[in-house]
Amino acid sequence: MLELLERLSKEKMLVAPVRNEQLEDVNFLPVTDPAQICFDYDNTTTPPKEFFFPQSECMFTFSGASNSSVEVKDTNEEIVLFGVRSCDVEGIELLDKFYERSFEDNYYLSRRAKSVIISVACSELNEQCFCTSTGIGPVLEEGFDIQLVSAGDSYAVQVGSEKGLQFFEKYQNFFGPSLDVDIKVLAKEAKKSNHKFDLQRVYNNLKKEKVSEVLWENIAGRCQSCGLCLFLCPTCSCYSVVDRFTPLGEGRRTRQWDACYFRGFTRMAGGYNPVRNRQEMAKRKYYHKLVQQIDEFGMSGCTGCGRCNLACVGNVNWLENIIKIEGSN
Amino acid sequence: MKLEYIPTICPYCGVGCGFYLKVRDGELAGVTPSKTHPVSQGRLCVKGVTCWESVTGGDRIKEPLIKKNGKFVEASWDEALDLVTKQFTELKEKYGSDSLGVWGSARCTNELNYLAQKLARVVFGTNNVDHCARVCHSPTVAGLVRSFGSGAMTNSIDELKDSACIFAIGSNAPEAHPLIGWRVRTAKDKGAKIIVCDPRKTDMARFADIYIQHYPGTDIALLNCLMNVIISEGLEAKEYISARTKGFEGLKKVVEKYTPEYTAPIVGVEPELLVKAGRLYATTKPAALVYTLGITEHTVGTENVMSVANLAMLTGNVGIESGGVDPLRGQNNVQGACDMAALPNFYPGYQKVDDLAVQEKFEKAWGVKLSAKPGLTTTDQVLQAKEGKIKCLYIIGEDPLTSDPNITEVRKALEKLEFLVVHELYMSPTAQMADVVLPGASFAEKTGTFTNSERRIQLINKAIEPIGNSRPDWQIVCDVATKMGYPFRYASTVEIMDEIASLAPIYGGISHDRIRKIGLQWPCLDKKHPGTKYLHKDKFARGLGKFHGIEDKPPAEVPDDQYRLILSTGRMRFHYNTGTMTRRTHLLEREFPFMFVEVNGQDAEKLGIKDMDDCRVSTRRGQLTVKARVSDKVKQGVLWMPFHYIEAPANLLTNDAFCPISRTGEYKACAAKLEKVT
Repeated sequence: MLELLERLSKEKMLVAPVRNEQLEDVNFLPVTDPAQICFDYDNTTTPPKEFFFPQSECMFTFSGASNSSVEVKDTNEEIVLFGVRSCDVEGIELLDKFYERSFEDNYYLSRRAKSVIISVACSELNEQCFCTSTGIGPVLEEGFDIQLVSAGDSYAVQVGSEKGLQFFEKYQNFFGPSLDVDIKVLAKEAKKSNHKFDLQRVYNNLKKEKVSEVLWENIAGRCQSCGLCLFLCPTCSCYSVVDRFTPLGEGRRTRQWDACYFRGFTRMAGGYNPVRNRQEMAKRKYYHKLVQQIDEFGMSGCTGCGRCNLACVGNVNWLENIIKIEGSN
Repeated sequence: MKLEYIPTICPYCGVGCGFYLKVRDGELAGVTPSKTHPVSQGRLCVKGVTCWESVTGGDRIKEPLIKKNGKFVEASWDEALDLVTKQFTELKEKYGSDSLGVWGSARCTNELNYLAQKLARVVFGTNNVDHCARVCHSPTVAGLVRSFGSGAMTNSIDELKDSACIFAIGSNAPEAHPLIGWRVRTAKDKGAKIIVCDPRKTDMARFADIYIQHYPGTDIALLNCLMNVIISEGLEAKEYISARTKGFEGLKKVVEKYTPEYTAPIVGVEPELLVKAGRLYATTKPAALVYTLGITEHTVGTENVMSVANLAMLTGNVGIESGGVDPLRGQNNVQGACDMAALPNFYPGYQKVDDLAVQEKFEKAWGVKLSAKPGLTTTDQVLQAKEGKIKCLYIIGEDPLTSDPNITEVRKALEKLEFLVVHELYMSPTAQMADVVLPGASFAEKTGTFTNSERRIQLINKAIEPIGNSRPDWQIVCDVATKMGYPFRYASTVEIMDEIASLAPIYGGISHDRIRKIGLQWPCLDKKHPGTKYLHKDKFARGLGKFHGIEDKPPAEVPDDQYRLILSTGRMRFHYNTGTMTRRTHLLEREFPFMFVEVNGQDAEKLGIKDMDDCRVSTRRGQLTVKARVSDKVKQGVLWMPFHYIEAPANLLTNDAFCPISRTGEYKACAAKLEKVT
């Protein structure tokens, strides 16, 4: 595998988990040498959506009132994203559906088109994550390009898409012979562990509004609108568009991450806010991810990555709250 | 595409969270948290999350600016520095060293502040060096030095989550120190008892076990009453008091009259609540006492701090883990700026200016004769500028025309100066009045150290090149000194810190290498010392802790027939101080884009004012027309305004009355009236 990664790092932009030398967090970063890659991690602090839907991006530059011009930036290279976990692969799949519906968001889609994702299924699950309860992993049955599943001292490689097949064919010399493994059987087995809640019950309780107001009041009293639970979420797609000038005078239309947990996100001109209070704001997130996106996209809007559980200065734990919702009524 | 994650420390508050700046193709593109950083532990507040946007606003000052015929003209660094050093030299010769003043910056690095005070002392020949701790926590330094012998947060931030009781007075931690507010929340979730004393019902007050909504400026009475309750019920820590403190009898005599019945009408709180609070705090250990500017920003600021210290010593909570007295420092490096002695009465490491042995040590190290005369605080530099005695100010990264009390008087003072030089990122009201503005580099554009509230010295890492022709402030100061005939030559901030370590014993073991990963907390006396988690274990810095019996005194200006309400000022979560950075950040400005006054529902009703009505707030010093925000948050009889908006500066209204010891202004209480605008 290292030889393959070495080759990829020379031919394309290889993005892989890298551990920071000073503070030791693991994040996806471009690497020029496989020695930089960290293989010993649960998951990255920031989800890989940064490479398709970055925290801030310049949509186009503009200048001048008289000699005005608008220039669209397109510096997208071909990237190979290596080491993505199943929860994050699903997150990207959900973002694909979001950015394709109603109109085609080419900022996102052109980056996606130039990417191949080599995911690595988790062999161990930790306390905070719950992909088995959201019906996803840790081994994916579908919706991936290339999936690596640990098989002792090697990986079983599964091709899951046209893109993945093309990649495999190009680099097949780096892979060993075909294995007699049924990925669907592996996937179903892996789903049996670490059960945290029954998604159908959660869906029902939310949809039928059986959840006590006390839960929403509790969250509302704790949330301090830092935005982190939403910024670290692999499926959150909200953004705002702002026109700014750089210090050197270049005009830029910038898209940047935004979040429904800011009052200003839903407040309208004139001051009216359709989200009447913080309880309602809290409820909407659960409803959006665990009911509405299931209805619309046929998949859970939360992939169980667990990042948001330990990111809150108000000690709101998303997973614990889902379990409370399941137990409502 | 080039992408890096650069670890650094937040440029906003004194909590000192670590996180990564996302740098894409040489530009700031975002922030991501650090799960392993000991202070932030994977979390951040909204200001930290968005700080990447705050330093790259379109109107960043990119070139030195010289005022010619009333307008700013761009100049080269040589031209600007030649003018600046020529003026400094001439004014020093004409009027004497003490006619100059240098203001260090609580927003800049330790290395900058060390050099700023070195410039003042070595090159200007004056101890007139100070910084904005003067407007917030200098009573903490003055008060705790008297009570404990050392003026810093006694315990560490993370210890709070394990406290059995947290007593917070004059602190809105969830908004002003969010990652400390997180620890209070965590302690509560683990079963700790929370007592909050605040004229405003903050987020913390809402989840407190006991909430005391007292009038601004009545803290001594309140604290004396709690001590009265504790002593009369025999709940004081008798062994601790006899072994570790002195002055208890004097304290006991003074607090005798502050019974709950006597105190209740002064503070505006039911006496039963005062009894409950006293009992709870005394009997739940370990108890941490947290306070900020509600305590310090008063004419009795220093005495408020000593009262807080009294209460903590009375119950034996100082010098134990998860106990202590925790003044939460506001700015990213206000602790460091104090440690580095951008202060008129200390050399680096709190060594006194009027101590001959200390003076000799620094004369030897710096190779010049130094002045033994303690200098003027920023407060007094402004007052003396108005009287024509201070002729020249060199202000690094501060905006007194927005942040000092009674800014009308500040403007008069600055107008009278013969020469004003300001370092800034963006054009502020103070910079607007300058003769020369020098563009400084932001936290993302330089390497150096910040010291957070828990005395942790941490490294900031350069993530992008300085914007335009801006330069790290420490390099500008070196050039000024060198051009004035005193070469300051340092290859980098690493060497500056090495020099600091050789002269300030509490920083003795600090070097950039040693602090690279998670910093070190002073006192850190030598290269093998692991730093110090909490202070005053076994004995106080001064030996025995000292009780001071203190009588309460009202604020300098209290309500009367004409001005019936108490006006208090402060901060919000989404904005920071004078708004220089936060008002230029989309997500923050969008949340709170306009100035307002918080009014209690009952007061509003009497005045015919509804939420979002325009109304006029007036004091003897000025008036502002702003939106009213009506709620139950602020106590009846009290108004509250943030000071983040330069177009409607709250300090137009505040009172320039100062604590005589620490010279801090009474931002938290003056008399005001409120009228509906039709």
